Amino acid sequence: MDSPAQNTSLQRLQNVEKRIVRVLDLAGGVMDELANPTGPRKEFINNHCREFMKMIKDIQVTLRDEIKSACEYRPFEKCDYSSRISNEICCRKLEYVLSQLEAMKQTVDEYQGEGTI
Amino acid sequence: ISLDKLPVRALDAIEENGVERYPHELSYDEKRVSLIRRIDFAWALWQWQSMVENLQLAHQELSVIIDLINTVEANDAVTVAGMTRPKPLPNEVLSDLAVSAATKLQCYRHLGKYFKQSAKALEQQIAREARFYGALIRLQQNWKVKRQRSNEGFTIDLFDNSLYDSARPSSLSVIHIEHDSAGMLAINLPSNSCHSLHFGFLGDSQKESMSDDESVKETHLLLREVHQSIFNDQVFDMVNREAFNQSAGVNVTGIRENYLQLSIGQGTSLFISLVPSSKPNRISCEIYLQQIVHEHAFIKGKDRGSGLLGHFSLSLAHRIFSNRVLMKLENVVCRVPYLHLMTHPTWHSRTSSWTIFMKVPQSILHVEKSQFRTKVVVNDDRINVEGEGAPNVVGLFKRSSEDICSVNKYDCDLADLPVIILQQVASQVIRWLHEEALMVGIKTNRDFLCLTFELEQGETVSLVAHVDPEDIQGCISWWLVMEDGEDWKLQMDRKFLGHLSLDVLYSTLMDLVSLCG
Repeated sequence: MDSPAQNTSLQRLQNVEKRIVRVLDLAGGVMDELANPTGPRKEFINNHCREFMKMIKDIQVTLRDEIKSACEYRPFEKCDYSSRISNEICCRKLEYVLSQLEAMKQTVDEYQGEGTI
Repeated sequence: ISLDKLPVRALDAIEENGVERYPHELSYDEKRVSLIRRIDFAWALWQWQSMVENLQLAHQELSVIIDLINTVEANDAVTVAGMTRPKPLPNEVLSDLAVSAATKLQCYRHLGKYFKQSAKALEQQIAREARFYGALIRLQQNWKVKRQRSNEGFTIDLFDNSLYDSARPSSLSVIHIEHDSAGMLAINLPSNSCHSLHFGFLGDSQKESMSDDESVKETHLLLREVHQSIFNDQVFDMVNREAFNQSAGVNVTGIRENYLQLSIGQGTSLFISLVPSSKPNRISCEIYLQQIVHEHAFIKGKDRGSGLLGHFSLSLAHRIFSNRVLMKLENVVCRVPYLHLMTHPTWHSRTSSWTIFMKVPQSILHVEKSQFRTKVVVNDDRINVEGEGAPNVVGLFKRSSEDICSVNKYDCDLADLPVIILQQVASQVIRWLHEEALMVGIKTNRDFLCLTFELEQGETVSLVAHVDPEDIQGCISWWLVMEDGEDWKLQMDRKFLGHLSLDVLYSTLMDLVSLCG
């Protein structure tokens, strides 16, 4: 099941993919066991099949939830390109002010360093 | 060394005429067949023969069956009544079972292998895609990601449709998202496609086309200017180094950026400064240009009137002009020790503002106002000077400085600014002295830049201020003028007092007061 750390939609879907891999692996394991020349071990097969069914159910539940919640997404609703430019300009201003302050500090340091008035 | 095999062959015969006869040379196949013929197959012949006989018998039986089938097929009158399979022998049953069991096991094994391989391949593909889509989702938080129907690819749309209509989407607006060799998200931009805004000042370049000769001369001129400028920098550096090494007789009395004030010998003061081309900083202009375009384009509803570029160039012009104003103010203020210059941010690109403070020494009677202000405001290229006067006596007892200050306000030119400021300051000093005199009960006459004391017998003594912005020893100097005015005979004695500090002026005043008293 989903642990608390997997709280984004993408993470949940990636989890589904991982489960599909696991399910394939289980199927392969069952087939290998059935191909056992001494005969398949019943416990092994039961455990694998139980886990297989559980995983399939998890996958179904997660996909259903994700499909339902995916309908609420509306792309490009709040485009922030304009404020992005504002921020870039602000950044440049800050850099500029910092460079001015740096120059002032240098002047002050040189002034004090020379030990004059 | 390589040796060819001698083409030696055994002779068969040689004829009388010398012609040689060689034995017939066998081809490769003939050689092979002759070698095979030499093998003795006798030991296998018996088994071979029995196998041949069995096959011949089987062939006969099959022919019979085929004939029968063909006859039944062709002949409608005869149909097959039934067919029974011969009952399998126990060992046949067992072997059939074993074969089918083995086949099933093999199928399971194949399936198992197929599932496991698929799982592995899917796992790798998922990992690759997780990186890609993880990156895509992060980008999507900040940029418009669009999906292409045609090839299942993605693009990023950088075009902002909230720009005003005259903006065209550049070819850079649509960025294609690609995969790199590791499957990770990558975008490729053609080189040299990104531009940053650069802003700079051109020299006074010729607009009309220049001949080669003129162009060379222009370049030569620029090089000379730069060469000269480099040398000036070196001179200034040298002076700085020498001055701070405390060589004999030279003291540094003031320092600012590109400005050095020295005193040499007996009270001689001089300064050296590197004068820039008084152009404002180009980076700040870049930023400002970007900002005003952005404000106009992205935040609609601002009425700019003369247009963006008009506004920008007016701002730039103001900036250049106000730099020159500042230079003039600084030149004045640094030569008068009791003046201080303060810059005020106006948060308006076409307005600049400064205040010049004059601090006067505290007198015995505590006066609330101990400093006088002269405000300089520049709007575009219009300078306005606002000077504060001294408080009058009535207001003094009211103890509120609000309505007791008279303010002079006037516009002026850049050229006249230093003189105007100095006159304003000098008149403030005179007013202050006037008040101080009144404070100790002495009545004086105040003129614009002159304070007159009446002595007995109609003699007058005046303290006169003289302003000169070019005076490098100090812009405000003082004269003592003694007049014997009764006879209208203009007997005038003048004594130059020098560039006095306010403390010295005050004690001079007190001396004069005691003269009167």
